[in-house]
Amino acid sequence: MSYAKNLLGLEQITFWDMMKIVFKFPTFWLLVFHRYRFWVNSRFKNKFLRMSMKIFSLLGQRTFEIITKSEILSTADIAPGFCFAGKGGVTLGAKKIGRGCIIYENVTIGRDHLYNIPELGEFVRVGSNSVIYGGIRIGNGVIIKESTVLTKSVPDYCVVQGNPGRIVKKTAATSPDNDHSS
Amino acid sequence: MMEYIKADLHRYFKNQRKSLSMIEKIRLILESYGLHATFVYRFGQWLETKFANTKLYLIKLLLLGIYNILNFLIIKFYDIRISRKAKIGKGLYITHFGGIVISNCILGEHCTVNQRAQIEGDDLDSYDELCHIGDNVWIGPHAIIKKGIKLGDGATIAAGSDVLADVERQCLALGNPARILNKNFDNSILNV
Repeated sequence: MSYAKNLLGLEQITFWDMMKIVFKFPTFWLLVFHRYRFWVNSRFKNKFLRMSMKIFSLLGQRTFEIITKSEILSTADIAPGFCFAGKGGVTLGAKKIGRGCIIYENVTIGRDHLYNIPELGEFVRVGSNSVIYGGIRIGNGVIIKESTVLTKSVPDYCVVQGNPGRIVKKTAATSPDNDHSS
Repeated sequence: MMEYIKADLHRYFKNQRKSLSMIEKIRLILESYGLHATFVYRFGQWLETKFANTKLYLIKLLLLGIYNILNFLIIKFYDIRISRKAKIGKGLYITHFGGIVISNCILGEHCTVNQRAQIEGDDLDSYDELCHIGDNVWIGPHAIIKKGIKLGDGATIAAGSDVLADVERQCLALGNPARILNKNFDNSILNV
């Protein structure tokens, strides 16, 4: 649904739009396999059962990792309404991602030297070629522009740019559905 | 070639920070995309050094063909480009995959190259024109190192930095263009 809204610009999707998403965006399948793995890991306690359920998804996971050149950390808690815009190349190692986030191409989100990983709020947009690392928290509705390197926490509703990243301006807290129009 | 590969494997096992069983080791070898690329590079480097002045043209041609096919697959699937002319020391560790370019350069032992890091260079360059990178260097994700830059032993290039000038030993360089933040940075936590 997030794919339909953000990438195709549709509010209501028909069957054919669904087919379009399924066959047009390999990153969608990467997300599907990740969600399956995350669900199995969180739902079942038995190690053998988990292994046997994951063995089917492992091949698909690796295939789509190679097609999209992306990797997602197995413990990353991604809320519904997430979407990858662009071809991929994303290395995603976040602790938690709020709903309605968009991540563009060639983004790295990962750990620092002390193994702290970041946490993203709701409706965050991460521009292409940007790097986010360390145990930081990014607030709701933050827009991170292209080629940003961010290592510090950001409050709600800001625009961040530069290397190292600075807050360029503060946006008004509009209703979250209109955040992506700007 | 085998001692280089052994050192590389040891690096990957050590990075897991726990003792591994045999099945876990096999799984790690199958899943580490950087390791496959390193294997293919070591094969190419072996061809480059052993068959430099040989009369066995046919065997060399055959092995070069195999190398080229493997290298093509690595580039297409993993997007890791390592020139076979580059001289890389023992124990190279490549984290993740995608957009890694290691062209003709001189890389020391026990280095780490992260995803989307680029080391620029040309296959036809002379020895002095190349990048000279020391031992125990950690090159962060999205970092770009321009041609002819010299990095000292134990240098750390932070994520997203664009290195335009030489970096001394044990320094932490950061930003675009890269400037030195810390002159005595110990990267042994990063560079396991």
